[in-house]
Amino acid sequence: MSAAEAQRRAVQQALLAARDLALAVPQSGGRGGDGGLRQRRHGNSQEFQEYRDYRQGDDLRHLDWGVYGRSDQLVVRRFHQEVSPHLDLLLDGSRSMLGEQGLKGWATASLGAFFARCADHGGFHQRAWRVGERIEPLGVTARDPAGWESLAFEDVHAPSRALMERRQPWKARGVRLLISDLMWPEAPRSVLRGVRSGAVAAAVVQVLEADEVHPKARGFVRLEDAESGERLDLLLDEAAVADYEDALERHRRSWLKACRGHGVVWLRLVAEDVLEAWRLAATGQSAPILDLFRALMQSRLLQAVRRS
Amino acid sequence: MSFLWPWALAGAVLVPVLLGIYYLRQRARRRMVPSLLLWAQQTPRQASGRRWQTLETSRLLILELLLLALLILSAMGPWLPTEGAAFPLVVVLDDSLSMAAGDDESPLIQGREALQRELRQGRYGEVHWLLAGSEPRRLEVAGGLASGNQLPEAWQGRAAAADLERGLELARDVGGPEGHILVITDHLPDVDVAAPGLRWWAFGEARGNVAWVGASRRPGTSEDHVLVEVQNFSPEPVMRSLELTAVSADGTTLDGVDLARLAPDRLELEPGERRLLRWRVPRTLGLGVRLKGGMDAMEVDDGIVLLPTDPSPVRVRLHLQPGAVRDLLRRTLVSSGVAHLVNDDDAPVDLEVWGPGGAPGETSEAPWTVVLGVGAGKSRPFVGPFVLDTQHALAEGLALEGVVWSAGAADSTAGTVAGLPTAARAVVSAGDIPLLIDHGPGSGGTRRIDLRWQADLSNLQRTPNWPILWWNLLEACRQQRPGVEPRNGRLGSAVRFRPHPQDTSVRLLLPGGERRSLPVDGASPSGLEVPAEQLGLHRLEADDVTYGFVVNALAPGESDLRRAASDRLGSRHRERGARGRHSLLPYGILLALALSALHLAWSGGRRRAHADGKGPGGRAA
Repeated sequence: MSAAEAQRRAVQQALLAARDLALAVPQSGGRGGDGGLRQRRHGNSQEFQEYRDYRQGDDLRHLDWGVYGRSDQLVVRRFHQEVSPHLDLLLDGSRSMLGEQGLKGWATASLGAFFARCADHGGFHQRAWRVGERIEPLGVTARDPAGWESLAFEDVHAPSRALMERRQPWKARGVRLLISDLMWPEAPRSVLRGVRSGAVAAAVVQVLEADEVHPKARGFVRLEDAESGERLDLLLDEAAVADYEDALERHRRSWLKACRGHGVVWLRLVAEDVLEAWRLAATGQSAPILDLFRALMQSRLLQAVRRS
Repeated sequence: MSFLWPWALAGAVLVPVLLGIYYLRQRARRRMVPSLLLWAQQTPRQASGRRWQTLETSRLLILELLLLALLILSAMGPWLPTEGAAFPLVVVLDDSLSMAAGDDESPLIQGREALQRELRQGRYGEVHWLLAGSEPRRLEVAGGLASGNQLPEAWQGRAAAADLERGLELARDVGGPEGHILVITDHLPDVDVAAPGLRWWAFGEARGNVAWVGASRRPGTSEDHVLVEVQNFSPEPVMRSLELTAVSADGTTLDGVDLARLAPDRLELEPGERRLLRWRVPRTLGLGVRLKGGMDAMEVDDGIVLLPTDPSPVRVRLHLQPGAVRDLLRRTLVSSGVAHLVNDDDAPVDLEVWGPGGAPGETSEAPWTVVLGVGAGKSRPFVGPFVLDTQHALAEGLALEGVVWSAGAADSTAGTVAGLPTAARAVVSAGDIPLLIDHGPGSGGTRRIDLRWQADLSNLQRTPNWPILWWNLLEACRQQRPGVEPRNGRLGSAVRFRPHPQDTSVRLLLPGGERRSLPVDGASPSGLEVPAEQLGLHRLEADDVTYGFVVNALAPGESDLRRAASDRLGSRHRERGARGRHSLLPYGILLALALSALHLAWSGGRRRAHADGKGPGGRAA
């Protein structure tokens, strides 16, 4: 089976696995990205919630003339009651997402399709973004499986710097879901600030291959950075593996701590487990799916639904 | 160290192959990772780990190189030469008379001492003995193991000659390709002793010697003719005196017999001179002759004994009618000097002659019978050409040119040569008419001769052929009588003894007093062959009669000590071809197994230490 066929099958299975699941805006209170309490109520209230840049087509009555007078910036006020559920699906489009065997790429693409379908089930308006050197809209939805099936990971830059930008194109008061391997040196907090800012909920899903979680001792190896091309000759013995796993654990804990601090749901998935869960779901076994996304289920971002 | 299969060194080509495998294995495998972020954070412990890993790899590589080298070395079949502990030793002993020359310093005694020293060193697993006389033969020594004290007792230096070349051939057969050969003798070799594993030890010394080299005694009319030869094997002229001794027929010394007239009392010989002496000796007197005076290396060839030849005449009884033929035969037999006519019908005889019309009856006890007759058919004179069986003893000396021999001209096949019985032979015939017939040996040692001859129509009896013919008959008859022949034997030559047909046992009494029984049953008509292996007087004791014979040295090849020499030639070690080997292959195999076990332990431990990380395939945090 070719890589393309494998990715296509993974996407198809992921779409099938999402049939009884729906994305939702969490009802329970949580900490916002700015540290304040999020309002419980939503809807067409005049209660001001946030600013955002003016876009062509916005109602001029919502312009904040005071900000304009002070800064010449056109910003509009947003109100909760005016926010409909929206999902910004951020996919790390860097080359590292391919993985050495391609499994990570298939898992990432299929996860994107999965969450898109879940969002669709939850009545979300959604938008997918490829995040790399720049943030670019993917232009694919769950109703367009072919887009996910042909999703490529070719960017040689990590998305960290792009995510750290203050101005982001995603919709305020929506749900943000970042799918990445998070393998960049920038501090998690700096990246999360850009991801979490203005979102009612956010989640970070780290996707790694099994060999990236528990590498095998192989003797002399030449490690090559998938994006930068940098190389490192290393004697991959048991001691080296142990050191790597320690570093990976420290990396995980730093992200976990940062996510908790920003009220972001943290989830690590292994690509092989994801693909296996899709396969089992295709045979009618949903338990692996639920187990896989337990953290999202617990945060109410993901809910099981009964569909008629 | 040497190698059986040195070409196996070609396996060294595997060494660069092994190094190449290690090089390829140690080449870094390329692995794509999402980021070097976490790998670059390796702790300093990694550096020490790397050194340990490299050291282990090198240790395994060295071990594998050692193992490969050991396997190649083992495949080459290494072996070390040994001192011959695994080799059999074949000792060829020169048993000729010259080995005893020199008394206490004889080559025989020196050879024994040297052999004892050699065998006491215990280098050989087994020792085989070959006694090289005229006919080399293998000896069995008690115990069969190499021992300085177990030298063959049969080795006494008594043989008339030593066929060492034949002995070497036999030694190679006995010892096989791995056997060592050691020749003990008294002269240098005529053959190449450069062959590996062949040694030639000579203990002889060139000495001067005077010896009897020839002797013969033949009966004459009234005395026996004695011919003896003496030779000076010295580089200087010598003078010897002759001591003559009278000996009885049974070898007993007779005192009071003056023999001075027979021979000169002194004998002077030039260097290398060989002189013939002729004597006449009374027929009943035995003669002993010994050389005296001067330094002599060998005594055994200084004296000879010549016993009288058989003096008894052939006893003949004539069964002929009085007349010309009977008279003729009487005169012929008497004039021969070896016949004694017996008139007593009861007296034992050796030969009976039956005339025409007569035939030997069943009461005849004579061993030999001659039947005179004309033969079948009308008599006619035959003037030749005559056909003689020149191989037959009866035809010896006959010349029938001009002879008229009348006999019956057979008118049927029965009377011709073709009609003779299978065992009969026509000694003389005229065409197909047999004239002198030998019917061959009969039962009980009898023999019948038919002489077909008509006296009045023949002139055979007036030619020299007539007495020659009867002499041959009498001599043949005499030789077939029980007794020993020759009575004066030569060392190494066999003596033939004809027992009486009624003898049931015969014992041989040797000069040293040893007695041996000789098989009589089934003896051939020509008698028993008695080996003449010892010098001196021998006796053959039949049931009622004792016969004596003497064996003299008379071996000029052994008496000549001028070629004797001392030297030790050849080498124990086999420098070429197969040699004493101690194979190292078992050690190589054991060492290879040990190294393999060590390799297994090291590489297995390494694998356990580098066990694959098989943790859970990722779990949600």
